[in-house]
Amino acid sequence: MTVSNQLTSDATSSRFGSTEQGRMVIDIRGLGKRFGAVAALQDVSFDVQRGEFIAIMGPSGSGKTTLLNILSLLDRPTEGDYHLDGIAVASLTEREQTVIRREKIGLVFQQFHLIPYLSALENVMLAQHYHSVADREEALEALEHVGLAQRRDHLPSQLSGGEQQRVCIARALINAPALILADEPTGNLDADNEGLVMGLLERLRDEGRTIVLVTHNPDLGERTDRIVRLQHGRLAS
Amino acid sequence: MVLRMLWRSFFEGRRRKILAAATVALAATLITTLFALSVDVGDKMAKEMTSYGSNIRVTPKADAMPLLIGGVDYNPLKGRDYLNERDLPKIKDIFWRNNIVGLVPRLALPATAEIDGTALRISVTGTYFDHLLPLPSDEGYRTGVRDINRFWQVEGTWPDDASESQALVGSRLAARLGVVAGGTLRLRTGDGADGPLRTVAIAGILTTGGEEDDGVTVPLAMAQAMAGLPGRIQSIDVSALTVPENDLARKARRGPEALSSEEYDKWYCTAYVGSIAHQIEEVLADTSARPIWQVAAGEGAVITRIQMLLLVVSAAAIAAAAMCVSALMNTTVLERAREIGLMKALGAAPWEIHLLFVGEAVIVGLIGGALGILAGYAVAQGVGWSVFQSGVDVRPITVPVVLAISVITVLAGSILPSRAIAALLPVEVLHGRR
Amino acid sequence: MAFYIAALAHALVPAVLIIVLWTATLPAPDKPRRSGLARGVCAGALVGALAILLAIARTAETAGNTGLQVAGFVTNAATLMLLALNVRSLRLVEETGTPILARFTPILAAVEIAQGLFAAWNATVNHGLSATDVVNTDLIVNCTAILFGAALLAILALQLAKVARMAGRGPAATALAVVLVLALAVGSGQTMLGLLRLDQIGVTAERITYVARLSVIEPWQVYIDLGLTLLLILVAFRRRFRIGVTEDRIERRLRIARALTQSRWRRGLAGATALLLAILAFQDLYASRPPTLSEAIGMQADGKDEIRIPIERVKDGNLHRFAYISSAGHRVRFFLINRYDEAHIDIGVVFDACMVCGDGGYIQHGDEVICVPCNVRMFRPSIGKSGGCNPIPLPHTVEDGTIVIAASSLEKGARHFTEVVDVEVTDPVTGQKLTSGKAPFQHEAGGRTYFFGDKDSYDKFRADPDAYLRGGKQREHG
Repeated sequence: MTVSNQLTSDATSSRFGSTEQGRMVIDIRGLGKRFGAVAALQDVSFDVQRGEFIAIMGPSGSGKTTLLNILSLLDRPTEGDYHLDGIAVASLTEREQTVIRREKIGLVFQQFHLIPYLSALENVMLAQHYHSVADREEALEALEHVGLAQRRDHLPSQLSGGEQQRVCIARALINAPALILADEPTGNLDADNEGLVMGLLERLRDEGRTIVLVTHNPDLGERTDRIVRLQHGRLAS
Repeated sequence: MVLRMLWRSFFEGRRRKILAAATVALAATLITTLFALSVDVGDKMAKEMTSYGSNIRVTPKADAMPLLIGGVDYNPLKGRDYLNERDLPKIKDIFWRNNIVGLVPRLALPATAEIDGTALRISVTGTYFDHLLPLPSDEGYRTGVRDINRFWQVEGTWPDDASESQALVGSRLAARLGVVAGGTLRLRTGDGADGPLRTVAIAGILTTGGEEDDGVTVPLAMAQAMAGLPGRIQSIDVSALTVPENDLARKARRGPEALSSEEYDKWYCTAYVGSIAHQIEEVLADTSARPIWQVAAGEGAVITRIQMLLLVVSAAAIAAAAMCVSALMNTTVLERAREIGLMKALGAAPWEIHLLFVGEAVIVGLIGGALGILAGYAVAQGVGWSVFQSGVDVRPITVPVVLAISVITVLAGSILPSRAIAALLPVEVLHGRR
Repeated sequence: MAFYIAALAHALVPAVLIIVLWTATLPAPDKPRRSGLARGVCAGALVGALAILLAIARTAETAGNTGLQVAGFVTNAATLMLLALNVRSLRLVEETGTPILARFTPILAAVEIAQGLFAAWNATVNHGLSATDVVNTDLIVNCTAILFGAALLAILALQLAKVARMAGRGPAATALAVVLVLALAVGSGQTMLGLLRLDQIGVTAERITYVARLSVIEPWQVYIDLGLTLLLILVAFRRRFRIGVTEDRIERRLRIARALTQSRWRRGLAGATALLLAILAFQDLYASRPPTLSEAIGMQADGKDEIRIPIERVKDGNLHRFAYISSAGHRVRFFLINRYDEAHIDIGVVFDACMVCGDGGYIQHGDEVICVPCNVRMFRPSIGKSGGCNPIPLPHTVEDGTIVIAASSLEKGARHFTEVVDVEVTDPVTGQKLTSGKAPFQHEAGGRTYFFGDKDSYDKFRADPDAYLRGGKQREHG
């Protein structure tokens, strides 16, 4: 069984119930977020179908990051509904959200964020550990999938930026999440590595993954299926 | 996985961890020292209280305090109260008579030793060595220091209790006088040059480790003759088989009146050293019989008084170390905020993150504690020699206790940083753009 | 140190089991919040501590214990009743809609903890932590033991909460019912004993028998409770989550993790229970047992009604214990010991009993002879003399290297011994064979006890004993 097979199969029979029939991975209705008097997001509604690769775009201060934080359950909306893979996640407790986060969401950051004292392989295995149990074979296959099998025992400091980001992607997909959220994944990379990482994301889309890419780079946005534009905290489309 | 992470992350921020361990080690050194001293005495006291043999000293109730200077009693003999030697068998007639192993009467008097023209003030003590003391129940009862003080060592022979011209010379005195067993010694009663003089044969040289080493020990009858006090004695040491002290015995120590009649009966009929002493007082009028607690009366009295101080000093040391560790840990948490945020984002439960940091703290505490124990051991020896003139026997219990205190110190220091971990929001550290 | 852990376990394991299992038995809407349960436990600890302070101040241990026993008994009875209702799915709901069961749980926790704490204190109050107030090894070890015991019980409670949920409501409720019935039985005995002591109810033979019967169960309560815990682990194991077969590797990992978590809880609880059982068994079966007396050699009187023991046989300095069955069936123990050494043989011949402490006996430990009940060391040369806790001297004579003890002396000493064995005796009047323990009549004459098959022969004998005794020695030894 290869990793790609796995990625297409929809493994979501966690304790929150299986939702394999559902087509909608993200379903947002009237989402809003206020920081005191300032409204960072207002009445945002959109959905993402299973297998879609979409981009959230907008200039700085448009509310992209706030939306991303809400999508990744790192922050709570002040109004509106958010269904992730058929589950109303906004009303869950902190603890339940933690479980959803580790079982349904894979995160890729602009600044890579790897544990500095763990090797590439161990960084991937850590995500498995928090999710369920570590499985070395499976983690190795995931590294192979992003073309880093030979670098498995290197520490993050011994890897190039592009390699680090590919480790992050391997880590993000190791638990076959319903949703991969990538926040400016190429922001800190040179053009070559940017191409490599975007190619990898596109390949994942082809394998059936649902990917939300947050970026302000129009060239990258063009390579996705659909673009959701934000302007001053509202949908701009 | 957890252990591997703990192991790897332990080498992060080494400098700070060494600093934290050093802080803990300092506190642990202090605590080990204080604790070792306290527990050493405490254990000795506990052993004394739980032993199955005790000594009781019987003295006249209104006994004048002896005026001891350099082992010589300068208080004049006249006007003092004495016990009667003929009362001795009464002690073997109390309820617990069978538990009384031996009786040693004592009569000490100041004297002058003359040898080669030099005169030296000394103390002469009369006692039983192995004396026949006929009892109504046992005509052949023998008792004396040979039986009771088995650690007394004599180079030569023991004097005959019936003789009035044989003596044991203490080992230190013998060295000063330059005499050996088999020689003779001239003793003059009192401290002047006018007392009666008698020449005694030195039967042996006595080593006890106590004040007897500086004096002359003679048969009781001879001391009575020298002092002109026939049939009189100053004190009696009674050696008894007892049961260990417990709560009832402690309660009774405050005075048998404090006991209820049921408790009194139980106490009276149990071979506590206190109840035996009480019964001796009952048969010997106007006497006071007191258990001799050697440790409790000596080092124990010191430790009891300063124990509170020890506690306060230890608590202060712990608090200071905990605050240091807290500051250091806080910096660590700030420095590793991204790592923590990442773990949270990956779906780690809060306790899993705490486990990592607390685990590191515990290792630091153990290392610091272990170093502190080693250092504290050395310091305790130094203090022991300078205060008690003997090394301190560091009890094994010190090791787990100090390690536990060190770990608790570090954990206490981790409380605030842990709150920082809990309060940390992943969104604030993960996105470089905010 | 095991003493303190065992005392805590005896007092608090039933409380812990009742609270945890009760909570596990409740249907989801009735489950108390953690904070409610914690508040109940804290309140119980506070009440228990206050009761202890009050009992110390007023020296009212019995009153305090009885009061809390009554409270515990009533609460346990209520719990058992509610459990029955609960099992029949009759949910009790207040008018406001708040489930009564959820309200009840913190109260239950408070009462159980208060009673357990007081019982633990009551069991340890006469057991000094240490011989002296100065910090010493004993004091630290004993305090650590108390903390360790409390921690072990807390861990046990947490793990049991998880495992009981895995075992299911049915098994948890069954276990709870057994624990409750046991606690009620023991509690009723304790309550009655307390009331008897406080003179609140009159002393009757039935009540004493009841208390005595239940006091037999009491030491076993904690073992039964812990045994039930092990059974619950077994049920949880049989109902464990099974990984099964799945093609999906992620799903498989999740299942492995779930099975692993369950097995960790089960193993943890099994470990904690086993550790507690081991400590309890060590304390109850080994450490707290009084020292056992060495075997006594049975002796019978010879034709001259004498017992002869050669000095050669007993001069080695060891304690030589013998036993003689008296005419009334009393097992009279006596021992011989050389008071000095082999060079100076002087044999002490004494009963294995003491005027102060009764027939607890003496043991030899190394060179020392110790009275078992009071732990006093004997001054060996004094053995054979009366007084204090010395063994009671046994009259005897020495005939060319043999100690001669008259059977009549041993018969006289029979009153010091309580151990009775059945012997075959003969009615001196009718010649009927009887068993001493079952003979309806007995009479003492000339230091001996005679048994009679009926009142007729008894009266005849009493009227003129000599007439029947002259006929020869009809008595037989057992």
